[in-house]
Amino acid sequence: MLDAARPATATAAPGRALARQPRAEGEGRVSSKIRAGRSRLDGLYQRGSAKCMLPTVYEGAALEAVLLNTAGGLTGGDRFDWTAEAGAGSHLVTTTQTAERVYRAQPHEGPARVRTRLRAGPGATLEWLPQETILFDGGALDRRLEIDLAPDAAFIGVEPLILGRAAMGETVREARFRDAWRLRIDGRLVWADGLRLEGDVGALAARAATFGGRICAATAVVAGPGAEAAVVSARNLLASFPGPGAEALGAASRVNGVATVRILARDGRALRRMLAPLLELWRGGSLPRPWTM
Amino acid sequence: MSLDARGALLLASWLSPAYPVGAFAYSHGLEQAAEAGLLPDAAALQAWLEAILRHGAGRSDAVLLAAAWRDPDDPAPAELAAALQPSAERALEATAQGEAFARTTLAVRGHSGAPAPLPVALGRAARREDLPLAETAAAYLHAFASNLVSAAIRLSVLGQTEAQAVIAALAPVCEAVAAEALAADPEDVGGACLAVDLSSIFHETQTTRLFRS
Repeated sequence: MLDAARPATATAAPGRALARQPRAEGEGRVSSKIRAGRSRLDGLYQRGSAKCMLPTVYEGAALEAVLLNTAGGLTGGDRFDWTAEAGAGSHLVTTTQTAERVYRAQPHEGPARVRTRLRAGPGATLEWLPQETILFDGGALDRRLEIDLAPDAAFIGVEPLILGRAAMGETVREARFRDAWRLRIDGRLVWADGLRLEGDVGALAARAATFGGRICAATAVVAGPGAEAAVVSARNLLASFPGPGAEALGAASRVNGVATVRILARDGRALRRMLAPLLELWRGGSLPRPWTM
Repeated sequence: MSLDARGALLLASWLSPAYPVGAFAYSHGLEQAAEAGLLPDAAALQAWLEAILRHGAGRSDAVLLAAAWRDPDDPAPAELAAALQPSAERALEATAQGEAFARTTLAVRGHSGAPAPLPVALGRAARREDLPLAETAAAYLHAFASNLVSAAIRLSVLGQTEAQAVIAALAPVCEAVAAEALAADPEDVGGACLAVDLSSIFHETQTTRLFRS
């Protein structure tokens, strides 16, 4: 459905490659608060191509927000700002309606820019569970995720990535991707990460030291009171998967009290077969509905 | 600033295996990669290390070293260098060597300062001694790569002569990465070496280990 929403971008004919594409811009903010033992909507703001949907969830006491880019993907020059904040004692779960596709950017447009700010107050729980980002040939995305937690707040976050569309024999020849994480607890930077892919991304990912020829990756973290238990549970789960040479490889460690997991996988299905049970284990329940639709 | 004989000797002593930072004890996940069969020969090792220099901790370290050299009093490069770690053992590798470097450099040359991971501690010390940045960054990367090649010899990945050929081949890479890092935005750190990160994480639960990372 989203492929059809922007056909000219996804399958631009060579002769029309420089035709100006419409730029998408959007800003979405959602926050939760606790009332009568349940997390409720506190604030909601949406502008441009950024939409926050609030499906009725019948289980649990969390508020669920589903983020959607109504432009149906990202191209050069697009700009999105997302903010999700779990107020004191509340529980906010954020996911995306669908995978985010990063389409070919024209050279003069510069990369798409996405800034995400996540905050969790005292005793709050915030989950950042977007579906996959799919980087197509020619795609350019500069993304930054800033997480600020109160000392006793809990956080679960993930970013899954797919390079191209392997099922269709497509490889990413030229692309640019920046994915920066900055996680602060009580104002102190405790964990940072940066994924930098540039140039012939297919050739880069083929190297043994990078993706080892695989096209999917994910980074997942847990911070706060449950982080130590999350390392142990992740190690137990990941040890139950086949070892080197398998369709997916994943392992868990800890840095400054933050549980960190890296996964490399042969394809999107293999990635989900490892990532979904891990996230379900960490959150003690099934993934938000958009993941299974 | 250009590198004179005094500066060359200072860098040589700071980056020598004799400087007591304990570099020999860290393999940056190489021990596990070798165990997993990812480093069958010298060519595989060279490709692995070149990727780390260009797309891994090598480049990030050089960017943070440069930021520390430019403003030795700025706490941000040390904070980012300590946080930008994929695993407990890689964090130990960066911070324990930095602390040991600072301790020795305080005792020998009277440099004092807040604790910082090795590339940041070195960048600060180089600035205090008026050492040129490009040469300091290139020499740091060369010492980093040489230390890992030395680890690979002990892991029986390759022999002494082959090892020197790998180091010779990586020297221009060190130079190029250092030059690129000087122009980079200090926030634009990170890389693509996810398999190297996974090796360091798997190393934490490896049963027989010579190295601390």
